[in-house]
Amino acid sequence: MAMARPRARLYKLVTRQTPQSITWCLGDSKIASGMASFKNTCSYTPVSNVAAVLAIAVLVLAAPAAASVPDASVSVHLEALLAFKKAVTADPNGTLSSWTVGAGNGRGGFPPHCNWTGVACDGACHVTSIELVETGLRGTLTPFLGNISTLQLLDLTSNRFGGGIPPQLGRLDELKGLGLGVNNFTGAIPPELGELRSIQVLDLSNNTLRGGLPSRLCNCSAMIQFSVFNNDLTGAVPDCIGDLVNLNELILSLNNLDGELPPSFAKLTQLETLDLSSNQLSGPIPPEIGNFSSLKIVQMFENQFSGSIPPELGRCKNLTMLNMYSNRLTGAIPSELGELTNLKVLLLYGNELSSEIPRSLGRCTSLLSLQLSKNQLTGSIPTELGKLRSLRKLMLHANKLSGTVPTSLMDLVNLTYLSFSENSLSGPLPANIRSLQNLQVLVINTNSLSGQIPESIANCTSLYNASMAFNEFSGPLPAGLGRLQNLEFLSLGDNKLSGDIPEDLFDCVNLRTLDLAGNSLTGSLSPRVGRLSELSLLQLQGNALSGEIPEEIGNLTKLIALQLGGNRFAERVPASVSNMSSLQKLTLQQNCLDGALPDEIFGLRQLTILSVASNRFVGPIPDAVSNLRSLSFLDMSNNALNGTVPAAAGNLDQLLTLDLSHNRLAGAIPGAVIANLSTLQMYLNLSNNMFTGPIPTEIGGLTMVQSIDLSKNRLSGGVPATLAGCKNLYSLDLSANNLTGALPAGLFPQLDVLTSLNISGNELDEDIPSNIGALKNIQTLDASRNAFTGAIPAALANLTSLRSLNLSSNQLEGPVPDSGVFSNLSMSSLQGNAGLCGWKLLAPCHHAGKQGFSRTGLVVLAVLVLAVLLLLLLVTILFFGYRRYKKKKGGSTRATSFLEDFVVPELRKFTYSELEAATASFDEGNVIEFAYMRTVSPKADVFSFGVLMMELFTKRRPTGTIEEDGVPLTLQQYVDNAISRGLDGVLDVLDPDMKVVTEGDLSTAADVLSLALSCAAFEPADRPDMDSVLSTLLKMSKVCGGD
Amino acid sequence: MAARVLAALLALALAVSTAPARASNDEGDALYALRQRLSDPNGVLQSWDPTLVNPCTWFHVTCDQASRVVRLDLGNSNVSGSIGPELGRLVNLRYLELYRNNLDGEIPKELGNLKNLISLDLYANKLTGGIPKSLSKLDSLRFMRLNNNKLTGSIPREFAKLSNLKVIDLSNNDLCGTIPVDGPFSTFPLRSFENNSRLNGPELQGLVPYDFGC
Repeated sequence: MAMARPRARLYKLVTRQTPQSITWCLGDSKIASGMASFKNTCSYTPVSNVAAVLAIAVLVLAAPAAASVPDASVSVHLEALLAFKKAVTADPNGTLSSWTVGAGNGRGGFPPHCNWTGVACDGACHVTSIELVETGLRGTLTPFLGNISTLQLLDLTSNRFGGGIPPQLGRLDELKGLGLGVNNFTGAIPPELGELRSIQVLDLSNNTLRGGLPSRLCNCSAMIQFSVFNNDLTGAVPDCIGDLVNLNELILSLNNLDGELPPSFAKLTQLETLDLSSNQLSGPIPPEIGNFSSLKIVQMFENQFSGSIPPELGRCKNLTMLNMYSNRLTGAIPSELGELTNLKVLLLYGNELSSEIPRSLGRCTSLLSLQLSKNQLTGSIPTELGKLRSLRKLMLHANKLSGTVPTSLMDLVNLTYLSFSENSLSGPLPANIRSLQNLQVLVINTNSLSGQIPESIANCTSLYNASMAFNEFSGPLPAGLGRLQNLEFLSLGDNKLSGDIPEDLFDCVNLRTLDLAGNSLTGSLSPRVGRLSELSLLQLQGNALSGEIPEEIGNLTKLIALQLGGNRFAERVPASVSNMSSLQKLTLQQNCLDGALPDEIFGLRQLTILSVASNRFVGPIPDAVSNLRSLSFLDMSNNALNGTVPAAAGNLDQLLTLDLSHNRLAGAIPGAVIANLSTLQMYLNLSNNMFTGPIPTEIGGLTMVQSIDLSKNRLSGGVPATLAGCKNLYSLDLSANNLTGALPAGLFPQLDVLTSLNISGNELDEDIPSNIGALKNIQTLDASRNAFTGAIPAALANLTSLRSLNLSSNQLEGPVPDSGVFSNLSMSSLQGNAGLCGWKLLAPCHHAGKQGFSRTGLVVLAVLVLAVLLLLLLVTILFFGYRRYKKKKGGSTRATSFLEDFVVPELRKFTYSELEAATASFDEGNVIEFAYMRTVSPKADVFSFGVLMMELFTKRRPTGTIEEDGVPLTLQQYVDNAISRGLDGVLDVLDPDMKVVTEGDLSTAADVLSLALSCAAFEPADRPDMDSVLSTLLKMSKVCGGD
Repeated sequence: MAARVLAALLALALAVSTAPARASNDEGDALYALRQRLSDPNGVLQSWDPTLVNPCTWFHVTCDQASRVVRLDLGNSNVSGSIGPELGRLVNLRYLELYRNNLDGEIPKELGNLKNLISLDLYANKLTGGIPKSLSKLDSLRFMRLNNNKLTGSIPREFAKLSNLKVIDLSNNDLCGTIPVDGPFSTFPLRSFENNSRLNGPELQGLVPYDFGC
């Protein structure tokens, strides 16, 4: 994604261009070595090591004085060089093999070290340069180098020197170039380097230096190039940085520098290259940068700069590269940037820029790469961008762009990369896309692009990635796609494409990913699909493909995902699937496949995800299922599988989700299998089978499972207390079984995340434990149709999340709480409990043995007391008012009754319940609700939606005409009755014209009807909101429409 | 037919709702960075293709309806390498299941950014270094299993703040110091801490310095 950083090149600039001064120096010494007479004047006196140390000691004490003594300095230089060599611990290339005192000694006293590799001297035999670049030297750097006071260049770039940088280098008054880059130097940058009065080039890049940038470096006023990139430096840019007024290259990138740029930064007007990238720098970009008239390269990316991009940058006419991506810049892209006619690279992606794209950018005709993606840019793509004929990369994805794709973009004939995905663009893809002959990558997914995919795209023969999913492209796939021989990635999923898959698409033999999912493609899958032997992802789910799955699919031996769900594939799964040994995901759900589950599937040992749900598979689950040891998702629901759960299923110890629901499985739920599924973290669904026997206690070992559904079986025995071990259970459905006994007392306090509990339709008895109040997150609770006795636990009224409660058809007795969920409960949730009393629609309680008032009594009493008090108050006011009125009466011109002074006339208002009572008919009740609530309730829309869906599915009018056993029914009651009779009931009421193919279809229809029913609930509060309706529908569509 | 009716229903439903939330590809980038630091002999990460629209179609990755990554299930997958700080960017993650692999290196402190995390299962790996204090910021955490690694240092006392913690297992490491006794630690069995030879048993407040011998 990111441009290759031009660092290597910059770095060379530093090291190679360094020594203008050195050229002079080397030239001088070559002249020196060429002139024998000069050589002879030069005296060389060998000294002992001790003497050298002494001499150095003197030098250290009185450096300037020592420098003026040639004899002494020559030996000092020699000793310093020898110390340098001594500190080198490895010299793999023998670079320093010439560095011996004996060498050249015979040649008339000329100091031998001036001829050593990498060493150069001036005419006075003073060492001026040490240049040992990329020689593989390892070791530390001797501080004695600080004694070569005439040194002008020290270049040790690209070696393996480690340890600290000796602070003594700061003594090198003459040093113009110091290159220590690409080594292993550690520690801090010695502040003493700030004494290098002559330094012009300082390169410390590519080490592991720590600490801050010493502000003493600001004293190096001769500095032209300064680089510390790729170290571990921290702290701020020194306040005095502006003192380096001659700086033309400042490279601080790839450190951890933070803070804002200091005000003095504005003084660096000579800068040509500014690289602050990949630090933690923050604050605004100083607008004075517009005064840096020589500026060519600005790298400020990957920091935390904020504020806006200074429009003043438009004055930096020499800019060729402006990279400010991955910051926190806000506001506009300045239109002034259009003045930058030399600009080749403009990367501003990954900020929070929120303007339109300025049309003026069309004037930056040198641009090769324009990347504005991942901002919040609005408006349309300017037509003017079509003038950027040199452009190779144009990236505008992940913004808020709207409008159509300008045809002018197709003039950008040099484009190799074009992205404007994840915007809100609409309209067609321009037909003249054929002109983008060099286009390799086209990423335009997730917009609202429509119309046909232009046929001329087949001319873009360089294309290897075409990502066009999540748009509204319609019509058939164009012919000629087979010419895209470089195509590796083609994604057209989730559009509105129709027609057959063109045969020649299968000529794109280099395809690795082919995604046509979620369209309306028809016809059969051609056997030619077998030609796509490089394919690793084939996604055809959610279309209307029919016929058999071709045998040739087995040629796709590199496939890791084959997704064919939600089509109309029929008959058998071809045996050749066994060749796809790399397959990790196989989804065949929602087709019309039949026969026994094919053995070949169970040989695909890499399978991680397997869904064969909602087909017509029959027979038992084979033992071979245990081969699929990597399986984490297994869905075999909605088939006609019979037999028992094989013991071998216990080998699937990677499973997260197991769904065997809606089959004809029988026998006991094997505890041993459940015990082995301890990694089952998501979902266990065995509902709607014919399982018998108890719920195995091992179920408590599913510590992290989020949902368990064992409903609609024939399970017997009690609710196991071990369920308390399921410490992450959000949903538990044990309804419609034959469970007996009391609820385990300790269960609820452990199930504190439970949001949905359904134990209805069993034979559970005794009291509902009062610690049910521990279910702090419970939203729906259905305990109806059991044999629970005793009182309703008062704690239920305190569960603030509880929205839906059903306790009907038990043997509960005593007072019903008024508050919490009970204040909005419908009667149907309590009916069938003869002993309940005291609630708004129930008979009052008669407390034979109890003293005091009932709760209702208390309320009545309070109201009475309040009424008496109010009456007294009114009488008092009237009394005093009348007295005052009588006093005023003489002078008053008003003839109104005094009562008007006190009594506000009140309009007669109908209460909702009165209106409701007056409009008892169900559908009209909704009209009244609508009118009365004044603010338009979205719940009324939900209601209409629900009724509409029921009408659509049952092809019946909402009221009046339906009769069952002579009793008039509303549509809601009709549907409710049907649903309660199960799938057969649903089938009876469905529009006979509606073709329901599989049991899965039927169950989906039942789900939709249930949803519709809840939408049309009598009480608006009981209706879901549109968001949750939508999410339920989306979930259904996921189940039935594919992945 | 039913599918088509559903499609019609969906279109209807979509018409009244706002555009679905869009996944940020930061999560994909973070996961891809993880892929690049892991060695994957079984090819379980083969489907992690950054060319795809978002990581939700990658295997072992689970997204919620807004296409945000909520689960990462790479338990028992024979991957090796280090975990890396990038995972700290998966801020919607609820389940991080990396158990029974060959992961080495330290537990990145950035995992403390995963405020929605319910389960942190790193057990049975070769992780070294200390248990980051930052994990005490994981307010939603219910399951923390770091057992059977080579973790050293003490159990951060701040973990006593993790009021939702139901299960902790730090056994079979090389931890030292004492075991907190406050908050959820009052209910954890001692076997959750066994086989840490330098662990001195439950903290005796006021008597034994917490880091004693650590």
